[in-house]
Amino acid sequence: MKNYETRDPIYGFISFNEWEREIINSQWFQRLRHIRQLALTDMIYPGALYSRFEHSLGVMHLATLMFDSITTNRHNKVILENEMQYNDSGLKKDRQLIRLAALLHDIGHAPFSHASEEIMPINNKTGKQYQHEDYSIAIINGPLKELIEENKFNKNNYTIKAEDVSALIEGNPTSLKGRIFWKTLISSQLDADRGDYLLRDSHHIGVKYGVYDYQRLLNTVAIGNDPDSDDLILGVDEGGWHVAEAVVLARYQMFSQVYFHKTRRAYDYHLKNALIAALPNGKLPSPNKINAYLDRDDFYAWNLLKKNKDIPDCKAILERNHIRLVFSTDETTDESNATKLKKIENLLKNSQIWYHVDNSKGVWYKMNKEKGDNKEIIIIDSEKNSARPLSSYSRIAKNIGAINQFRIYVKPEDRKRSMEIISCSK
Amino acid sequence: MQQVKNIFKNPALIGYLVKKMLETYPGKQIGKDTIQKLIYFLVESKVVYFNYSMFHFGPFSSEIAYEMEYAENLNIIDIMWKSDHGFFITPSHKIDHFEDTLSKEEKKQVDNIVKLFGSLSNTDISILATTRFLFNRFETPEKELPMVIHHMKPKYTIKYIEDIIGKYGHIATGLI
Repeated sequence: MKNYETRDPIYGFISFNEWEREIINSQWFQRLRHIRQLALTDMIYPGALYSRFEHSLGVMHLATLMFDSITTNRHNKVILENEMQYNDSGLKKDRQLIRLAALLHDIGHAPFSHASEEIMPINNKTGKQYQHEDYSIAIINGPLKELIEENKFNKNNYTIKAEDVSALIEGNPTSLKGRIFWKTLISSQLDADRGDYLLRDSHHIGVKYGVYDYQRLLNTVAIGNDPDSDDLILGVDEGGWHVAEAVVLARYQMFSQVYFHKTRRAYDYHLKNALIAALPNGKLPSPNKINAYLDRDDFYAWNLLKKNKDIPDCKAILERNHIRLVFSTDETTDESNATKLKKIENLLKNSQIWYHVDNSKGVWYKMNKEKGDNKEIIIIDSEKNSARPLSSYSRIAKNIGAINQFRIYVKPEDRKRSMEIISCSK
Repeated sequence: MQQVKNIFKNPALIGYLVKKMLETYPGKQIGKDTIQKLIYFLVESKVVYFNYSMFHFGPFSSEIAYEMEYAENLNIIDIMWKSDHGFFITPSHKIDHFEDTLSKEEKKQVDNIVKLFGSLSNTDISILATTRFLFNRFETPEKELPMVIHHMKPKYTIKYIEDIIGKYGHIATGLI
């Protein structure tokens, strides 16, 4: 089968085969060129304009590098053969399955990525809001099914079904059985998704917070047993614990400096409300109306904002005049912080000043809801056949805890008065 | 405009669960994985709401992991690592202070989960939570459950998993 290459700012080149090329060239994957990875982060960091298309190719590439590194390591191979009954042809097939799942894991993203997830409709079956993964699964098992299953090379070699790809993304082991282990490369505390976006976001934005030595990480990924649950896990070989620490630090820095940046969060707020006000019914179509959903991309959403420029939240975005931060708790909100927060809320309320409270927890949840994130990175000593969490090696990892920060925003015209009220109350 | 909901409720819930487990079963090792799975049963009982996803090691919630870290920061729980044994989570000095944020009904439901599952080994709790998730979310046929779980947790034989589901599966699947 013919192979192709494309240039990439992080890895130099990314290669893909003819079958993958057909999928990439489909209108459903091409749509990702028009879904920004970082929503309106460019309001603060002008370089933050790259798309889910680029990231998806990067995840496929990094997941493959990780898989190859794992399966060529003697220690890992023994575990794969003995505990998971793998042989070479099984590994070859799963390598391709992982590539497809990595490539397509974000195909269901809504306009402006995570920022519009709160306007997804409710799933009547579960009573919970649909998530972008539900759309990814609907696209893989719907419009993309034929491209995946009817490919001649696939039919002759792997017979990978669309349901296998979606099961790996969803984490459904019913048909995949033990092969579900590889979900860990797509979605976990050490996955290719985060591995890629930390580097890529940093590159485009122009910060160094998310940069870590990914080649060292690739060299040291290892399979072992979680000492807490005795389950098989993907961890890092003892020699690589410093790079694991760097990943934890990168995640923390990028969260506090970029994803939870005070102004970015203001625009997330405006974007959500602008779309609620401007979209028909205030919601995106559900996964069972997948073709209608696929018509929605950033261009569609941006046009809506322009057509509705009199709606205050649309106007705030178009004129870059966002709500302003007037109060923030510490990164970990303790009781004294919580009391202060309540006091300020009451002061603003009594002064009849409109305010909005933002909490980092919602952002953290949203970014990690389908990830095994916060599960500690495990450091594996393959010689001693033992494993320990990173926090028992690294004081930095031990002390980076959950960020639970609250912020209060007011309208731009109320900022001065609010600051005066808050300052008089001290 | 909104008033911030009680932000200490989730860490208090984790603290109360740990406290009740150790009061009822002194000396038992409560690790992070056990907390994850016991709270999953509380979610399935509609007592609390957290998002869980399936991994090869069973249902896992990043939200609970986050709340555990927060509970540790607030001195509601202590999380200690002991070599070759794993995590040991115990109540810390602020547990009683925060406990009041839970309602009587919430405490009653936690007590019930502790009574139903607390005496089981951590592995068995994990097997039952995985059973419930597969049955509920993916509608995995009942007959296939032991085999699917065996592939996810190859250290445990199909026979062992069948026995656990046979003995306690009705409790795990019939929570509501």
